[in-house]
Amino acid sequence: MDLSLETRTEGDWTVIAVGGEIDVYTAPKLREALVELVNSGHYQLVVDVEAVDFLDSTGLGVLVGGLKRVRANDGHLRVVCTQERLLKIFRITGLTKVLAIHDSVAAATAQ
Amino acid sequence: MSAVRLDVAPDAAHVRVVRLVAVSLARLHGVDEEVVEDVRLAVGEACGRAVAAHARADLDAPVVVDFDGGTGLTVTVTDTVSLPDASGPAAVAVLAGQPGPQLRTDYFEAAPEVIALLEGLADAVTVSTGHNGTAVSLHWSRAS
Repeated sequence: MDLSLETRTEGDWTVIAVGGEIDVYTAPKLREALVELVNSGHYQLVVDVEAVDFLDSTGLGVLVGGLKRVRANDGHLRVVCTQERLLKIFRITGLTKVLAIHDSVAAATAQ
Repeated sequence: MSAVRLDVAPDAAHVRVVRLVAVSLARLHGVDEEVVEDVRLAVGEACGRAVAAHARADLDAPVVVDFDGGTGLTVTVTDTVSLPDASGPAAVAVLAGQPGPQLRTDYFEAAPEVIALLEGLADAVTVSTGHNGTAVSLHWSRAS
């Protein structure tokens, strides 16, 4: 399955809903989308991975790269994820300490 | 001779194919269904790293992935990128099951999240580096 990306605005936040597989082949597409958003002045980002079937370290790298970019502009990048198999990957790599992970878009955009 | 061998042209698009084969063989060789997802991720990580290494080195030669059964599933991903500091006999690091100071961090230092994932996902991980490239071997036991 390929990667799907849908971007919408919720209040001050830009929500990127990602679907499919984020791997070494498709991750560059997500990276480009995040870079484009930051370059166009969007620094409050929510990446919703609820519809993602597969996430590898390349995808994690893209999320961390996005976080660095928004932070350089005093922004935030929050992740929406409740899938245990993806949460396991965040835990194994220690990224639960780096990325703010919420269980819904509403929770991610609440504060 | 391995049970199944794939010669994978170094293109990131092919890594998904290797993941699918790994999942199928994990089930065939009796790996616990709850662990099959770990097999998919770890094999994808190892293969993705090898494919990227070939691409960086501008190597057209295939990455070789061997699958063996027996006591579970063993997957070995072999690249042919020679490391500049891999002089002398092949160095072997056991990354999971027997953590120790022999870990060759130079090999994975550019991608610590890969090694963290491999260690976290496989029952045993062995990395052999030599003049002719690197072999990453991952093992999962058969469900008891």
